[in-house]
Amino acid sequence: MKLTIRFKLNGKAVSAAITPEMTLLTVLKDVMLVNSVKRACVSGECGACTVIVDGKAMNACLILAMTIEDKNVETLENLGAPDRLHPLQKAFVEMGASQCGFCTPGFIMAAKAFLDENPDPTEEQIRVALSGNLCRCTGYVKPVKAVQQAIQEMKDIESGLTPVQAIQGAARIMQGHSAEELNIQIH
Amino acid sequence: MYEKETYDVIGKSRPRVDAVKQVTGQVQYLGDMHVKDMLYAKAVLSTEHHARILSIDTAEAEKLPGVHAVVTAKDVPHNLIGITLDDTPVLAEGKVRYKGEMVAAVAAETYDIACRAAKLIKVVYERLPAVFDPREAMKADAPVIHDEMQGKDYKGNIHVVPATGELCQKLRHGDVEEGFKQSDIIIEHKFATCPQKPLPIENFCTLAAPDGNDGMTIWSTQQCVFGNAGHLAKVIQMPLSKVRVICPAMGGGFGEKNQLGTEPVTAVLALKARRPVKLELTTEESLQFTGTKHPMYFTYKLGAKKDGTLVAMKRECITGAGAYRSVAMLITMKVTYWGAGPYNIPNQHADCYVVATNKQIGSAFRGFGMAQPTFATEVMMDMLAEKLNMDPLELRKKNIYRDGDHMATGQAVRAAGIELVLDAVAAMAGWEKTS
Ligand code: FES
Ligand code: FES
Repeated sequence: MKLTIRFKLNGKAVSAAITPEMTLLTVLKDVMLVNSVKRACVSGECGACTVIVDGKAMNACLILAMTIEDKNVETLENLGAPDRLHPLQKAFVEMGASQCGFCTPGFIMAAKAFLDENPDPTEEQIRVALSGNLCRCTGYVKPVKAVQQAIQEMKDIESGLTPVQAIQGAARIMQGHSAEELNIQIH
Repeated sequence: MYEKETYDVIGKSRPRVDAVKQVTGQVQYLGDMHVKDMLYAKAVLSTEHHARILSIDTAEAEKLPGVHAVVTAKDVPHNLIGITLDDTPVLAEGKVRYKGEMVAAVAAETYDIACRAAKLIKVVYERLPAVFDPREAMKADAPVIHDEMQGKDYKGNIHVVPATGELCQKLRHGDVEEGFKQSDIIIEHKFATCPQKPLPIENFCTLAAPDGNDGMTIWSTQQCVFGNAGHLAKVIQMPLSKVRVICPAMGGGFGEKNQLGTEPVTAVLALKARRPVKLELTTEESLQFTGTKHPMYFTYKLGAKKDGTLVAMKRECITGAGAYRSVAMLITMKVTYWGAGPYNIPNQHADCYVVATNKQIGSAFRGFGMAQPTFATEVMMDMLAEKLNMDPLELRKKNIYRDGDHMATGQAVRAAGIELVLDAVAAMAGWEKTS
């Protein structure tokens, strides 16, 4: 049996022909061919499939596709592009918080949804927020530090520092690289 | 000479070249790849640890609309492969030797149809007694896992060492019994290490596409594309020049993806369906099908002088290879030759066995055979330091290799940086303060 569902994918109205047993993950990966979303455990354990549904981070592998009718699904594609990275993306690059990169889209989406609701969390709260995302490469310290650095940068931008000053401040935190070196342009 | 300021890269933190692509979701892993006319595959894994296969009925699966190919061992052009011994079937034939071994596979229009078809394949097993602990598997009355390969390759469940025909790999250096006589102190201990899973977040995944030129292109999550291209060419009976193996971005491997995983069966499916086929395991399937770090069981005896000078070391190692040999002999060779640590020990003796069990095939995993004996040897060193009431760091420094020393194998030591490393680690750890 085929049905058609309509929802918003990264702000754009879309429709997809599905079968009732399909999960949102199957729709995103095999029907919509979304690149950033990852399929791994397919059982809600690893967080690699994390997307944001109506503002909340969710495991796409655990959601029946039928239930997303009329909802707004955001994937990493919606966040930033190489020439205008979101502070979270930039911090993940600078902090070395992605190694193989397979878990990274899920981490960033989980962090994004969390920071949207909690702009000033403690380290403990960040750890809890990311506890549904598994990474076998980094050992978690760097992803947590990256989220902290992104928070700092977002605060700096808000407090009126120019993005360049904010980036310089962020770079000081991790004593790493200049924005030029990373080929990141600021808009 | 070792000043890091003289290097552009060493000692400095550099961003990954692909980091920006990773954080924007643009990296294409195998799970993100789609090619025209691609079919989706599902494998049928053994539900038994050790069993005779009485029958495999694929008729229902083949009838399901949307199914393009169903394969069992009889569809594999060349079924037995291996790294140092051709004992590993692409699809189980006659017997299954671990729970999770691949028995059959299907390729269909969609993943859901493939899953449904896989469930329709009926395998009838006759359960056999299984053995999981290599120490048990060595006993004369243990169930024999490779009954058809007895003699040259296996004696019971013990792997025969190809180079010597013996049951264990041996290291002999000096006179170990004489060494113990000269020792002021002797300590003995047993150790066991566990079969860790590498478990990268990205599971094994392969996309095999027959090309118009009687060849095959195989994209796979594979750490060893060139080495394994040869094995794959053999499986599908094509000349090596017709087989291309490509690894796009990889979502972690940690050694597990050195060995063949989903590649052979996907290639066979593509051959039969004459269409591109993708097989992507779930984590649940990966946990059963793919390997673990080899569990090892050690028996140690270490003799030293009162001042901490090491005199003699005797080791026995029993490696649990899992159901098939794969890299177990190579891993255990490293244990034999280098497992005594970076120390001058004039009298050494090691016997290292590789033993088959009804578990997943052991795999490379971070250290390739060095983590297990290093753990055991270093605990022995700590125990010795405690007995001698000596600083463990001093004990190590007293015995480490320095330039000009010779290892037990006769290999000369050059550019030994061990003392520099030990000092740097001790400084970082604040060793002085704690001891
Ligand atoms: S694939 Fe959804 S949580 Fe792992
Ligand atoms: S970077 Fe490899 S799993 Fe997280």
